Amino acid sequence: MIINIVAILNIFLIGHMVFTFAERKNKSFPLPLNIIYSFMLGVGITTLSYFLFLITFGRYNILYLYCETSFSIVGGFLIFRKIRKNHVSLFKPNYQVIIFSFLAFVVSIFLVIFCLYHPHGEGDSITIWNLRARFLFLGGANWRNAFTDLLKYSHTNYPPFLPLAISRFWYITGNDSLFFPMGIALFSTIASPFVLFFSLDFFSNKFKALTASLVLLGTSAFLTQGASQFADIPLSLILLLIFVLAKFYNFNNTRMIYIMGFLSALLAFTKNEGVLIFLIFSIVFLIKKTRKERIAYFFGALPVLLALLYFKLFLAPPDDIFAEQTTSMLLQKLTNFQRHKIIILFFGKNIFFFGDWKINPFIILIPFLFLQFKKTVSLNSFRIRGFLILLLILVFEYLVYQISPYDILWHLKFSFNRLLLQLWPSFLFLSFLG
Amino acid sequence: MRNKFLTFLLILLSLGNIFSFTKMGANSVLWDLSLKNPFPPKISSSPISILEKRFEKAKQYLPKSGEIGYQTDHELDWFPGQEEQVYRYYLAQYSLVPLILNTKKKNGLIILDYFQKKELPDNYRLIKKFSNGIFIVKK
Repeated sequence: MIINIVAILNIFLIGHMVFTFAERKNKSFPLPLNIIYSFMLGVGITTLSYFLFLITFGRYNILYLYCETSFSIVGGFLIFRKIRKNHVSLFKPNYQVIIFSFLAFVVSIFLVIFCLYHPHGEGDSITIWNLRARFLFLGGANWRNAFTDLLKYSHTNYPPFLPLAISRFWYITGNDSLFFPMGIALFSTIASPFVLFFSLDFFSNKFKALTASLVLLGTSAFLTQGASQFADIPLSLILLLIFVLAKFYNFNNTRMIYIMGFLSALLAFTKNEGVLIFLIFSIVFLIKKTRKERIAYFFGALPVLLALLYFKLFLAPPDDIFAEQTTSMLLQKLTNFQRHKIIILFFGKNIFFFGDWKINPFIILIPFLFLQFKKTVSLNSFRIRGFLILLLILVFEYLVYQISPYDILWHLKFSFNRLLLQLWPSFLFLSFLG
Repeated sequence: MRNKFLTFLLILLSLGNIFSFTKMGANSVLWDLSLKNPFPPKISSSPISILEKRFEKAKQYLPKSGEIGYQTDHELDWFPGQEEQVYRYYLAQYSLVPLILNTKKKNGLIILDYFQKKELPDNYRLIKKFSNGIFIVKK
């Protein structure tokens, strides 16, 4: 039991230590956001350092836990000092906070029940993420077998952030308890509405914060896919955290740009399409930034990018989109009008119906957005650039479908709604920001 | 004013969606309780955990790591519509980690995972037969 607490506490304390270092000069985030950022950063940092340890020493041993815990003790000391100096930014409860917290609590109970009915997850979480985590943990010194080409149908070239995060818990605690993958899934699912609520409360107003977070809490597909341990939901949380951070600090604080770079590179370490999202986000946001800011962003991203590079060069088999296709085949697909027609029709039919809603919120969201943008905003505004990023992601994903080696309808059917769910919390954040 | 009205409508609509989600969850819990299943559900009684148990006894006769052959009476060449059958291979692989189940391997130690067939094919030397359609053989 104590070791379980240590494994979780290390994540929070290390993440908090780094976050405190970054936000020192500015005013603090509200407490719930601070906690979520600390956890997400902590998961990223501990997972990377555990990966580095595996690569360096060939397998896990207790020395890793000692190193990790030493750092977390320093993090604990910083929190203690912060509380003593009363630097913790608390939020004031009001009726919107109470309504949101109550509904989030009710939904969380059903998410926990859902998780208990599907403790191994579903679909991809079994055949990709948890399978890989088991190889990393049970394989011992042969952990590299997790990425063998023999399991190529299990997409062994997918970035290993989630399997590594899960197997780190298992190594530290000494058993492959399903509560850890379930916990990661639950955290990323329920943290997203919290981030939406408290960030919009901070930037916009409580009424909009409540609306956006309730729309997300009412998105059944988002909740069930999250509780089913699909990697798309942690990815969506990371993307939302980056947008919020970009708005909050608006690149005035160089230290925070390190964190932005780190988190956005974490997208690329979570899923293959995360590489695309990372590139698009970085390019759009770094336009018109100073050299110093760009360098800080790059250095923040560097540890994750190096880990990804090592994984792609030395562990992963070739990417399944490109491996068995020649340039002429790709060009032929790109110019195939029939494929364009299939994808456009599919996008058109499904783009507003991905949430498994009883009542579709787009009935009201579309006129709401129309009214918002009637009175809008310069082309250079944060929101416009944010929407541009989401649009570019969709455009590039369209091209990926176009060159897909799989049956095109099957590929669309099994991934398009998950792709939209990745963008959904960020879309809500941008929509209600004004 | 219109913005506030639309936002209010969105809240109402979202409450309806949240209610629908929780109702769906409550219905599945009630259904489970009506079947007299334990609540909260036990991890060991989940469908995947039960499928994992199919391989529990076989594990004692298999090496701890390395690569063995895997054959089943289902088509394993993946194509759309075939996901369910390939999924069974993955469940076997998931259950037997860190062993690697190689579907292309035709010699050496092989695990046969039969769902319909009852008889062992020719040319295989039986090492162990289990009552649940699993055979460990050598060729």
